[in-house]
Amino acid sequence: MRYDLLVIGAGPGGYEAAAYAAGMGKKVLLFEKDELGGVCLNVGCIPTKTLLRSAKALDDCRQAAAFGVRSEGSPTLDLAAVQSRKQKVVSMLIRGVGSMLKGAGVELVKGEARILKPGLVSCAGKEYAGDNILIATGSVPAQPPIPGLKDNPAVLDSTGILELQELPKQLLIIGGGVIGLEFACFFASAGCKVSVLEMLPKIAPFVDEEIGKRLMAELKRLGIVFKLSCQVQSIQGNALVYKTADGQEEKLEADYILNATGRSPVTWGLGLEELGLVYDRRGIKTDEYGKTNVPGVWACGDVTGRLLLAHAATREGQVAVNNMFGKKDRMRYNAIPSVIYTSPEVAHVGASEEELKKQKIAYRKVVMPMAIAGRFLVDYEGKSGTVKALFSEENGQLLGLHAIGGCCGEFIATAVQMIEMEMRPEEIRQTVFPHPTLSEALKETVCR
Amino acid sequence: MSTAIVMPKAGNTVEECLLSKWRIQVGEQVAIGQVIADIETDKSAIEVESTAEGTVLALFAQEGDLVPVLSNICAVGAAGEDYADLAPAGATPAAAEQAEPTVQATPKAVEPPPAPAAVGSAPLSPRARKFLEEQGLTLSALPPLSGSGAQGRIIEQDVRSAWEQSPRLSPVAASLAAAGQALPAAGSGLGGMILSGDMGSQAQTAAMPETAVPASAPAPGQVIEQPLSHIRKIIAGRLHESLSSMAQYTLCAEADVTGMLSLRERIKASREPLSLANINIGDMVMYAVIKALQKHPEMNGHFSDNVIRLHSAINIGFACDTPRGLMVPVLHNASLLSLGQMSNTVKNMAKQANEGKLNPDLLAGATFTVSNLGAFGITSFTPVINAPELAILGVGKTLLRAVRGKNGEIEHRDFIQLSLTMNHMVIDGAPGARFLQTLKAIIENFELVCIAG
Repeated sequence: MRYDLLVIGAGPGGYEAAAYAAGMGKKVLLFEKDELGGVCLNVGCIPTKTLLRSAKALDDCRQAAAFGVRSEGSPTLDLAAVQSRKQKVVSMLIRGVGSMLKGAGVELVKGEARILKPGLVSCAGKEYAGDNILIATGSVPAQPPIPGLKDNPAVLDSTGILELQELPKQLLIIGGGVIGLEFACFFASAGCKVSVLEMLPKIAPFVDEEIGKRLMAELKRLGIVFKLSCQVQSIQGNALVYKTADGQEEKLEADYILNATGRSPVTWGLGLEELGLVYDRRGIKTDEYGKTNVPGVWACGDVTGRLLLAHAATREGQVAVNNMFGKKDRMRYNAIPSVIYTSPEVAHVGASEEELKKQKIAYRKVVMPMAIAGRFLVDYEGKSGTVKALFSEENGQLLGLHAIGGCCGEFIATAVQMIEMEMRPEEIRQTVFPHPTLSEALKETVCR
Repeated sequence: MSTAIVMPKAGNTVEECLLSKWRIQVGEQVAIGQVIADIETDKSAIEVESTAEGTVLALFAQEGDLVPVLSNICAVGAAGEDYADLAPAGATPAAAEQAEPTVQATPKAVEPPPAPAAVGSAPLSPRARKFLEEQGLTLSALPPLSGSGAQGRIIEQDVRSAWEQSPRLSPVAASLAAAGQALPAAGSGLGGMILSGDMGSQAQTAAMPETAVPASAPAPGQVIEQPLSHIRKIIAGRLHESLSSMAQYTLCAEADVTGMLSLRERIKASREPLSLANINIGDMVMYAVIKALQKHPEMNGHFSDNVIRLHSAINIGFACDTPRGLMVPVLHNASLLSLGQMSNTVKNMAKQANEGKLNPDLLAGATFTVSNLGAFGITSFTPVINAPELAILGVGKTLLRAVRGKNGEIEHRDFIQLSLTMNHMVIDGAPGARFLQTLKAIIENFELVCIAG
């Protein structure tokens, strides 16, 4: 039995690619050593969003009075109940992936897969031959070499913290990226005293700076304390020792310390070294067609170290499948959206103002308050939001869209299409946005 | 006063050269004789030396440009000097050529074209014009198309099918097309949509290259892509065409060079006034080939388009391994040269070819080619004919053979290996063998042949 495609890893890169290839009529085998769904479904996107949804419900209760709703007593968060709802959502989605794969005709093998040579994979004592191999093994939380971090019960990573059954009183977070900020937001809303330590002088470094500054101001309002430009020195029990920007050594204690320093690609145990595959600590090197340097071996998602986003992994997997079966396709990384599910939400697609400056691209900037859309005032009493659009000065096309506030993560998809289609205000004006919705804030910004 | 440096005329037949690499930058100091650029003709690669001294003020061509010979390629002078007068007309390479669609109107249109309208002056039928207007298109936004109407007129069906088959353009790309920028064959956007970045250039299409893009770190199993140089592409094309257009076959023979070797020893020991010391076995074999071709004119010439063209002049090409790849300098009118003259000329030409300084005129016009791989220890091989020639002789190494002498005793003698590839379409086995026989006889009686002249 020879397969057309062997996929290693059933995350959003791997399982989607497997189902997609099976849909093309290919014989596909999928290896997974753990649960279906990968990081995204089990310990990433989905579980964290259920927690954040509960935090939002809590906020809504607290602000009910602003909407003229009165309730007795102060609302509290029952973490055990939040966790059990999270589990329910996750299990349901995993079952969904399982039946989707079954329906598509993808064969599933449980166990750790190892590539013996191009076209041959071993798993659980058996060998499987296939014309193509797609590596979609994802990533795990990074373990930086901080003294006292390893095997410290007070230190949690993004996976471990999802299992907490009781709210800590104090939480220290190392890392001001997406993962750190989303957890900071959840625990701060739940009433914990949260501090975020960041090595760089700003949080969310990949976000447009203007938006990033607004985000930090909003998060400070939630009570989150930011320690920027700080270097972690060591962890002693549940105390974090760090150096401040001016070289002072300081110490902070908390019930838990969350290690949110980033993610490492899963490149071990696969036989990559013997295969002669080119990779480094950031991941497997691929081109924009999903090819690695070894013919017949492809890779997508976190393991390539490119974007570490579930939706990017899915598209990369699809591009690789298209190319391996002769359909022309390539990744375009200029229009991959990204959303941070903090409160307020941040969403962006395309180039930031700093990137355009760096590339010396002349641009035109439009910044609008979200309140320009009536729906924002209706739904987000007492909140603020901003939409920022960047256009090419040369030909008018939309190059970047950055937003903070409301449910901007929902309307960002529209901006993705605009960038993909190289639309200019004159074309966008010919399309109709529903009223009253928050997407009108996007319209008002990109039509100027 | 600023001075211009021109694209050298690299041979009488060369009209333009590819500027493959600049060795200087604007603002740099150059001296007379300093190499400022690498250029390539379709046959050779040549270095351009500066003919002026001073600061480089401007480069008028970009790497990859085909530049007419004797036109200015750069200006040199004192810093800050005006050089505007030296810029050749239309020098700025960025100024893309107006991509006016070439309407391949077969016979000349007899009737006058319809009244000019928004879509330009192409002979469009009114319905075709209406279709374009309805789609908000101009003819330039479509790939070049030929009209199927009367007198080559473009009718609605032509533009409609061109529009349906052509990749979609993003709004920005459509504006650029309307402004005259050339359309690429394929786009890099959604479903092959042509994006602004694809316009007027070799678009990066969705099509996957044959080999994976190499990653930065070298590692075992890594694949490295090396696009062919201009010269290598020409070599590749010619050799492939040679083998695909002819019925090539090779005959092998050996010739006793014991006599030649002892002559060579005597030449080496000869006195200064004769200046013969450099004549080697390869030269002698080439000289023998010239003599053999005089006896077999049917081997000296070209074959193409079902016509054999036999040449009275014997122009011997000889293959040279150069840093730029295989080159074949040609010794014109070789039969007019003495062995000593021939040997000197061949060595000079090989040296120039090696340095990339050979006049391209000396790379054309061969009527027969010799390729010598003896120095590499090759015994026999199948040389590929330098099309449209009729044959090529491969010369291999000299082997020591035991032969039976006149009185039945065993003698040891040296034999040179010969591989003659011919085009069987026009030269059969027996005539080919007869040529080799003659060549063998000349080599084995070399001194007598030299005396006979």
